Amino acid sequence: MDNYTSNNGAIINKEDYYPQDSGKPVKETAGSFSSFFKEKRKALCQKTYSRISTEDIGLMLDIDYESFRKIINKQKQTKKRDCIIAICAVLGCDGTATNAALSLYGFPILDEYHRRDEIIWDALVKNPGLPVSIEALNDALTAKSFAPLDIYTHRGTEKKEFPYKLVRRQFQCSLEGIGQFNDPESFLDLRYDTECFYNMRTCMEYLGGGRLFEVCIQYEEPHRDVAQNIWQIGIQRRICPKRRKYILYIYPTEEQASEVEEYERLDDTGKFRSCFLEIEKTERAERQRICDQVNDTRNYGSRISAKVIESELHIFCETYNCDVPELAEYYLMDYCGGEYTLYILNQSCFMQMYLSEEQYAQIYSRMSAFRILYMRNTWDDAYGTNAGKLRDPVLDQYSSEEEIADSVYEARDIGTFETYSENVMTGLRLKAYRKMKAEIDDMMRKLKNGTAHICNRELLGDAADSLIAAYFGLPDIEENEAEYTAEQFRDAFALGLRTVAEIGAFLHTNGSLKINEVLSLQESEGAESYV
Amino acid sequence: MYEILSRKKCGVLWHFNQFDHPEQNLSLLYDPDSIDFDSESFTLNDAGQHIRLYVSRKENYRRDPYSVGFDRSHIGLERLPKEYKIWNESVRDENGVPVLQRLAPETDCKYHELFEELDAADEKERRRIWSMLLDSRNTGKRISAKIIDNKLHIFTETYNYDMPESGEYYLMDYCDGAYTFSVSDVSRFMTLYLLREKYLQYYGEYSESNTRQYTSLEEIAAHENDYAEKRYYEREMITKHRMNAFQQMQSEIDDLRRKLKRGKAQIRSRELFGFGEYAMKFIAAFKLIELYKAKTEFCCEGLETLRWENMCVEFYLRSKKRVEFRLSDGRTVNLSRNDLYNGYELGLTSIEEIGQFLLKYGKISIRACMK
Repeated sequence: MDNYTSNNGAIINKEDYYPQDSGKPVKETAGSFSSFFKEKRKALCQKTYSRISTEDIGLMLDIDYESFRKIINKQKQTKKRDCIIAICAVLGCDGTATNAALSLYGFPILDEYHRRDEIIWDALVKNPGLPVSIEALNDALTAKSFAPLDIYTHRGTEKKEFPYKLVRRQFQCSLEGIGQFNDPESFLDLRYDTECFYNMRTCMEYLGGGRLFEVCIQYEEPHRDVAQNIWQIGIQRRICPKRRKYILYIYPTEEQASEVEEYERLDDTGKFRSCFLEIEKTERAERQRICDQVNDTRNYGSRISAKVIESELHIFCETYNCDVPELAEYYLMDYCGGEYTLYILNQSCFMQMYLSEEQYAQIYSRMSAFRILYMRNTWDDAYGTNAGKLRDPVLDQYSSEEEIADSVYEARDIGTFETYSENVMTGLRLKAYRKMKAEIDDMMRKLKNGTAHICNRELLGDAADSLIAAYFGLPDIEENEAEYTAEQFRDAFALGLRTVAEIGAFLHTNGSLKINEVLSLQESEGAESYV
Repeated sequence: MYEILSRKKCGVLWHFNQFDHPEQNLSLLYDPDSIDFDSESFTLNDAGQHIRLYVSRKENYRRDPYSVGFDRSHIGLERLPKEYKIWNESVRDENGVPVLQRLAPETDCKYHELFEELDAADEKERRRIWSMLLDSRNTGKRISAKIIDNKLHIFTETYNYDMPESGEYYLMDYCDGAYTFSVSDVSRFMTLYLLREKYLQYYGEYSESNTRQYTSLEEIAAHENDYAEKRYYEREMITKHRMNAFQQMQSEIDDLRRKLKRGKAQIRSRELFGFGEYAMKFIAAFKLIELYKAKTEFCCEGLETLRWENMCVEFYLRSKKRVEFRLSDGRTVNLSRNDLYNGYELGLTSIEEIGQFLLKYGKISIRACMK
């Protein structure tokens, strides 16, 4: 579940994302799953004033009565957690009752910090007491790029029904991103945006009935121009994300011509549905692997970026504490409002700063605890969303060299921290503070003199203005209904702002959209606070 | 029955980290054996008596202020078997020192379950630290030197930070004037850094990874077609990265070679023995003889049981200055105590290795094997 399982130090720090039982009643009924089922079915009948049999429920799930009865009575226990969720959905159970059912069946309960479970939970509680169809649940999941419910235990019989034999399988994934080699500081906002720079193509070939079938998922980009450079592609993909298409190509024979069938939805793919499902599964796993690599700064040595968060410009860099690797610590320094703060973290949090909260939750299926707890403007904001339950990744934080020098190390309950001498640790912290501060100062200079960019308009070439307009959802930046000038839109783009509302909020907070002016103001604020 | 009052967590007291003269003790920097580890302990109240339980390694001589510099881990001595210790602070000996009871782990005692718990916690923490040392991503780029099969190897490893998605490690090994550059999907630094038996002890059998090797820039360019199955980048990009890494690592190795030659970098430093003190010289010499398991040959048996003052006197009176050893190939070699020092500096781990080195190069020095 964690992307940092290879980092054993972090394992020690690992705490569950699963909510404790205390908050939710796990056992709604004292008896078995079958009695739970009986009770809920009865309640559904009363609510809908109709007679719904066990067989009817089974049919809703596309499971024959005999098998369904055995699943309910645990005579033939299902291994699919999603099967129990599906049963609860059609019975009209809410999240709490579903958790009780999962618990009775011996499965983990819904984890509200797991994005997929969260979507299921939301769908279940949307209309309390009313059944939720499997299609509706699957639509909600696939809309957020998650796998639909996996209800059936695939046994030999099902495979026998599929009349085609797999003859070839090919997987390709190309990453065309902005690497260290093509001037990483020229477009900081796209540098680690994984969504923008990978392309996958998995295809499988099946033989059956004398024909060869190729099944593949393709991502269509209708607005893509072959002449576009890598930065234009990145921005274009943000404006108009890739569209998934399920393609079935039937090779020609001597008698028959080739055929191509395209589907927009997985459910329309008929007998090849399971093949497409498998491709989706492969691609999801690969995507997760890539995203997990990006989520750990150990894979980059150290990295730096800049971003507007909550209307404030931040410059931040992160590195792993390679001097004492057994401490499993990451150093993250954030510069904002003229202040430098060094955070000592038990996990890499760079991507939590780099991505928006929504993006992070979407990609990593968990909330960006660091950002919520430390980047929100007010404490109330931070604690508005059950933040108390979040795992705080910060071990220590310092806002000046003096603070480090004056600090006293507290023994931790994990790892080796307590036994290192204070002087050694203080020395290391000071070393890190100075080094990272110098890196941030350097980046600040570059951002001011235009040798580093959050978003670089120049690299978008002649199409810059039209792309920027589309980026902000406007027909044109010169003539539009928004109250800002074309120059302001260009400056807002350079700051990495994404919406007209963000421009307004940033202007309100900082008084300018020019990055060098904002940074100069921050510097003078920092100098004043130092005095 | 007893009551547990407190439990102290285990942790590392000290080890050759990068901030601690990294190039003076190359062979100890990442050696799991050279980590000084503070074990976990329990404090109990057993029928009114204040008792502390901990697991530690045996020491054959009584620790005193002068022998601090000779902590076993500091000089790369292999660890001795562990023992369970019961420190009773409520019962004191005639000098007012709490009574210490030492038990072999197999000995039956009423705290056995607690000792096993401490043991397991220590083991878990050790394994965590060992696994940290295994992966070069945790240490950043690293470099070392070692005599392997009588030849000097200088090797360095780094993760491919330019293309982290590809999950590749670059390792370059310099030996006999040849640079071997390899690309692998696992970190392999420790396979060169540790002796094979030590590697097995810490990390188990080394599973052969997916590794490609090149000995020159031309070879990397010539094998560009091999990357055809690579999923991510264009072949020429991969070639460019590998060539850059090859050149960079080559220059880092050359730099360390120069430093080793001039004595600015050392595989192991004799400074660890503290030559400043006259008495220390004897203890250091004895420790080295102990390290190379040659106490019988150098007539130093039993000295480890003495206090350091007596150890020095006895060592001076009894020990031989030069001893003849028979090597595994039947040849004989005369080794002095100074040869052991020199062998220690080169990171040689046995009399056999020192003897073979001396016979091959005529003298035991890093310069001899760099010609």
